[in-house]
Amino acid sequence: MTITIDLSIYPLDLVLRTCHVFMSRCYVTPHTVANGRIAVEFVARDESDSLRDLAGAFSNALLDARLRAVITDETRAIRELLVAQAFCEADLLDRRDIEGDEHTDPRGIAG
Amino acid sequence: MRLHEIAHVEDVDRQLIGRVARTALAAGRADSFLLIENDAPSVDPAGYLGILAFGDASVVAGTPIARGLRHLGYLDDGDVVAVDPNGFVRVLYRRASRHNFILVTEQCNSLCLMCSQPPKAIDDSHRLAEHLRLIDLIDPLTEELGITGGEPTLLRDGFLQLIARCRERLPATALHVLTNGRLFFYRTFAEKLGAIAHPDLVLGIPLYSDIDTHHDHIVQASGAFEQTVIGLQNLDRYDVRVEIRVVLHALSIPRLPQLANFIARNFPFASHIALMGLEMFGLVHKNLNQLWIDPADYQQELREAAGILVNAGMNVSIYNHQLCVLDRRLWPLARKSISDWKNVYLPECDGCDALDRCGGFFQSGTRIRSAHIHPLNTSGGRAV
Amino acid sequence: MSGYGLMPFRFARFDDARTIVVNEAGEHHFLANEDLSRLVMHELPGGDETFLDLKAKHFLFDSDSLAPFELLATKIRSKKAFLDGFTSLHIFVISLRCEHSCHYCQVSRVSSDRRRYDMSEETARRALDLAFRSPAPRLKIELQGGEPLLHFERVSQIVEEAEHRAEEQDREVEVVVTSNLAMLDDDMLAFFRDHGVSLSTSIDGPEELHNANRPRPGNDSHAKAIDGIRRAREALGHDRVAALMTATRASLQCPEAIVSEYVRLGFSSIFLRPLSPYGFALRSVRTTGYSMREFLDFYVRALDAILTVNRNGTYLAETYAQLLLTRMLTPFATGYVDLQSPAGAGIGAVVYNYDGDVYASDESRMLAEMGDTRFRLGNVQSDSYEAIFGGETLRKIVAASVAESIPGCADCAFLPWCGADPVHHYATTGDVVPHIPGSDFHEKNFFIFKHLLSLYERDPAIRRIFWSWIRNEAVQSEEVA
Repeated sequence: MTITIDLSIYPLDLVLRTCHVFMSRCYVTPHTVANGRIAVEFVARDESDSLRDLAGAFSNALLDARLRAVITDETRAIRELLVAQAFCEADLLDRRDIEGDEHTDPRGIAG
Repeated sequence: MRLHEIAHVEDVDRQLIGRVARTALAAGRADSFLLIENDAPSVDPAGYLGILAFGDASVVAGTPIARGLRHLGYLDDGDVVAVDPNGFVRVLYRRASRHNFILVTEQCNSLCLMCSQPPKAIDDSHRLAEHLRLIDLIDPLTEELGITGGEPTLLRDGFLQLIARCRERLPATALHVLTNGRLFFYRTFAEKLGAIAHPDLVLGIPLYSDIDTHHDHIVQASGAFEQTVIGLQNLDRYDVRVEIRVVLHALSIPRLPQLANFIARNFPFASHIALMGLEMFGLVHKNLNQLWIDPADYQQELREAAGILVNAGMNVSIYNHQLCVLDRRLWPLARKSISDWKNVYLPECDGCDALDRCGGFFQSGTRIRSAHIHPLNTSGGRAV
Repeated sequence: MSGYGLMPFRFARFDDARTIVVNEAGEHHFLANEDLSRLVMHELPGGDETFLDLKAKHFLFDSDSLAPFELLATKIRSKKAFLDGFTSLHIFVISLRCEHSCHYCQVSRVSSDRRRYDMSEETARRALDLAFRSPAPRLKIELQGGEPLLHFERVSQIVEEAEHRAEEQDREVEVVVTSNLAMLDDDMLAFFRDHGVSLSTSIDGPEELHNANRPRPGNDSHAKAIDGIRRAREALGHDRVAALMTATRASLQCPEAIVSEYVRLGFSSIFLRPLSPYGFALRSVRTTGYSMREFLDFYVRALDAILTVNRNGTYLAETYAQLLLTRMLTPFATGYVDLQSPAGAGIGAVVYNYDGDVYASDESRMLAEMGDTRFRLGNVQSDSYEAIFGGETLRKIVAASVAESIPGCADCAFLPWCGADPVHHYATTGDVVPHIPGSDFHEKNFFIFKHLLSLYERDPAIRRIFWSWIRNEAVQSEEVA
């Protein structure tokens, strides 16, 4: 059973990573196809495996991988900042506008 | 019980703050008012700060005197009063009370919809000296002292001075400060407070929602949530103990379990969580349509929230709830908290076997109250 | 649609209807499947309860408030607090001698009369020197073997010297002796009592199963252990004696009986442990071995039996579940060296072998016994503290064990609750980095996380029990929650 994937929707590394995830369930072989597409061939390990189910699961996994890529791209900088802030003694978050104290009160907290 | 009255004063040219002496003192007279009940002092009033007289005592020339007092007969040795030149006599501290507090300022930077002590926009920071003097006079054996307002931290350095003075003069007295904690958004302020290292200090800080806009609406101050939660973190960073207080009303009840989870995950260091029934004081009446919900109608949320906090190993107390409208399983968390001069009961309470365990009502809280008040029998069920 | 930004999080499809999202600090939330894509595509409406829940749990932010960042950064830091204090668990292999010949033993069997497999006085002293160089405010010293009681003079030396140093340096030291208790006499008990030592032993289940797993001359391991437990509890206190079990193929058949035995013996915790792929376990894998799938079936049945025990009013916690639940449901860190990121090998726990060689973990030591010394950190006689704890070997192990950087782990929803064990991965696959999927380590933990979540979601009574394990106290009868 083979499914064809449009590389303009799912970048190559996403496809390959998803193939890797499925390695333990079945034999997965990617083949290049023309026109910016890639074919992924599924061969059952076990008699009882449903190739349709596996291919379906693969498509879902590809969707999830794409979602993850979106999340990672969008939150990469924040994550780095958070981890740095978590482990650094000093204050890394943008304190420029509130580098005051209870007397200067740049935020006007005291009203 | 009244805490103040107007008296006839003579030779009072400035505010006088002093202890009460019913019994003649051998030493320390300069800090004390001699209290006399008859027309003539049986004791020589020389050396005292002044005289507090219930009758029409004759005046010893030059001695400050406030006479004609009628309502303050409970005053006793060690209590502290202030006498103003205009005749205003105020009781600032009573040794016999378990609920002494210093009202540090009437200014506030929030305007909570349910504020029970509506703020005044007057500058009363000059009264700091009065508060410091009071601390000097309070009996060091006092177990607990409250610091309230308005918003005490608005005094900034003055606030720190008060805490430091308490540490110095009243090292054995547990200090409980009611504050919105917002100024502790500034790390340095929290650091300075931590540096005082008061031996038994807790800041009681309200948090009304896990959502910033909801909390800000309830306290009527934009940015309050951000300031308060960062303030809480800063206080913990410098080892200042905090208690988190939640007032239960129609705006805080819907997400109460989520708030409980928020507290458990973000402020596990809180030494106590106070879940408080609504007091019918101050601004509550003005905002009643937004705030009122019959306590009997929110027991599910309350139980779920309390459960989350108890599971997380936190200390939880429920205040200001009559037992008959509180889920039975929450009774172990209920505290009989209404202070000693506010408790009343209603005709609906007749025959209730749980009166001694139940806090009853605030005097002000008897008109607007749950529709489900009913007496309980000894096993906690509805009495016939 | 309202303007909002995403905070970092991971997700996994949980069942047909729901997805679980987990943030960087390990807080989770369940979403309807369609809500995940709406969330990521910035199409989740701002007024939805789901939106509010995700905001409060720091999965998204919708203003320039600093609160979500400050709070989340603090929580991330709290979760890694197990790193504070560096190496806190110091394991001493007192002797390889043992009169038992347990099928799954991780220690090379040596018969009772071969004294050259005992730790020397000098080695013990040097090892203690190293242990006390650790900055950890509270040290835990575990004395293991073989059977440590066969070389009691070393046990007593270490206990006394550790106590002495603890007093000098004003530190807390806890000592635990792991023993089959067959050699436990009254003098030893008196010594343990006087020095506040705790005991840990093995109870694999009811007598027949236990003795089949753990043969000794006379085939009376179970009776000896029970007697030892009774006498130790009398002398040291009930809570000073703990037990754990190892599951063999025979064990997999009778989870309920094993649980009953623990209840009968009055234990308050039971640790359901699968076989490790080392030592004798590897050699006898055909008779005593099984697949991870089989172990997990056993685990589910045993956990069920344990939950029933709790429902009936007796407190019994499953140790592994207790650990995982604490990670999932509380903001606190847990120091469990075999499941943390970075791994606890060396930086959380260290092993001093009888011959003075120092290893990052028990598994590393086992590999060396089988001829592979790549995880040996040094020797107490010839290497300094800095060379052992700051050397290349340890650094490489730690670097390989940061789950956040491991390809199969980095995207896993359960990462914040999980960890890495590079030595285990190496021993089972030849690579310090696990191959996910296919890793039995992954299979076990992934399954148990999902299983605990489903149980938790399903039943308030189970939630109460789980929380009682987290708090380490029995459920009260009139419970609030």
